[in-house]
Amino acid sequence: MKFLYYPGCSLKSSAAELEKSTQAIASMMGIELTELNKWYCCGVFHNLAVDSEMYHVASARNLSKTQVMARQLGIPPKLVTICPMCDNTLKLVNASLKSSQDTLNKVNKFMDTEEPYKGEVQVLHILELFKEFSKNKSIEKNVKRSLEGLKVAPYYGCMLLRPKEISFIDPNNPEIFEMIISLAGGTPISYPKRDECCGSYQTAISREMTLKKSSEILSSAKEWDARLMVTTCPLCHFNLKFCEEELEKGERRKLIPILYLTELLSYAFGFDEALTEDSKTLIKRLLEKEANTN
Amino acid sequence: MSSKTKDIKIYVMGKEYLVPADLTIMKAMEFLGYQYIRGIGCRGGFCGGCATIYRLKDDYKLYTGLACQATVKDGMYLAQIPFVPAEKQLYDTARLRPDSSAVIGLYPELARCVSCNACTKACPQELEVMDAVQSILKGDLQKTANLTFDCIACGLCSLRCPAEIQHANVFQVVRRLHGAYILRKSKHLEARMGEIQEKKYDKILQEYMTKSLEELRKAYSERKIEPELEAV
Repeated sequence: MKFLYYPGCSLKSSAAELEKSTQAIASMMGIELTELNKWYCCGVFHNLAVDSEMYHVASARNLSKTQVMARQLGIPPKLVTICPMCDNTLKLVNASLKSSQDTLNKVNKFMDTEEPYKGEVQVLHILELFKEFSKNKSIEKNVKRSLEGLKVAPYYGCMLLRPKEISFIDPNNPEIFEMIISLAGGTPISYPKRDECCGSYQTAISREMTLKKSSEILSSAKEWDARLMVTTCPLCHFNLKFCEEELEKGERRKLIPILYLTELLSYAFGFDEALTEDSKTLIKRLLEKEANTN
Repeated sequence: MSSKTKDIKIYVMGKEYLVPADLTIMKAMEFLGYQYIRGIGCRGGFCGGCATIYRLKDDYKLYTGLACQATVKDGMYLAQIPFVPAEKQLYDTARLRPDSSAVIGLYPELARCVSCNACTKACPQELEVMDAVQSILKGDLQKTANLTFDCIACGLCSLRCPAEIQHANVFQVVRRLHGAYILRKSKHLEARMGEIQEKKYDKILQEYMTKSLEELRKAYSERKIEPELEAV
């Protein structure tokens, strides 16, 4: 099934492995992602904290591009995201434009070089599609190397869960990561900090605060016996990895490694081309270790 | 028969004048007796020295242009911009990596782009300025280098930018990184540079230094032109 796809800046720079592994899995599950032929930075979530419609323009531009391209391709105007930050931003703007004709008109006038957005696009996170497509067993039947015995800590972060008006996951009882890990044969670990904030974009302002938040999450997962943590957010991934490296440097203590959920799934699907050498070796080593202890 | 050009009314920094239609803004200003000291350069649309902003009667938009290229219009309110202030960062291209974080590290305001497209609308070179900024955020420096090849650093985009981006300086870093790391190396240039460093041509040059003008002319007209090399 064909969907229009919005990558966002991180996936094209710092989080290339996230895009590669997600596309690999999507294609194996029968999801065809066609990148928008032109797209811009979503405007980033924290800008929406300012009460200014100016910050809607960036996302609205992408929604207008989606409207045009979907019509040209003759497919429904659905836009798939991978980065939770972009997903959240695009969804919040879309909701705001759909709820007020006045805002929509104002924003359309601002971006007068685009076709006016009509408010008909639906923004979907790739996990929503994974959930939908998993109903006909498209995860289980693609698993070539089971993750049996591997204790994985799912880390949701904030952007997929809040605010609840735009979330596709029950913020009080998220279970989609757990479902995917289980279907791939792994053991999802339940631990208290799976939905705590990693420090987010405060990393640009206060490294100390981010380190504190991230190390709490990593320690919590380790305490609950996880061997590996997975996330889908490039910023969480960056913060957790940075924290991990700092702790290793300073205190010579190792918590747990961090990967993207889709990297782990790519390994399970036997799609090695989608993995970096480091990620592949890491998962292999963890699984071997698990097999030896049992 | 000489047909007289119709005069039109323009306002230079608020003062009303009558000038012949069809003049460029620069010619019109000089016709009125203004003498350019700053805000002028090549007079040919290439140097970016004569940025101008103006408004038209009954139109809410603020327009931009180069004084040597844009023509005066009836009811135009205009002002010349002598200089667009921008802070230039110091850096060593050899110590930078050709990726988005290197450029954002030097000019962090890049990340404030709100995709308003005011820059693109302001560009007298009709460059896709917003796309060039956005390509940096995506890490596609090659695209930015190509999109901004014709940037003349007039600074008009920077004056309109709500994110306070200093485009010309930013694009210059990108083109330098592109030239140093991304563009294919020219093998025959490197070979020739090696020959020069090995002083292969020093003797020939010394010989030419002693020749008469007549002999030089002859040598020039009889020179052999090397065949066009395939780009390697």
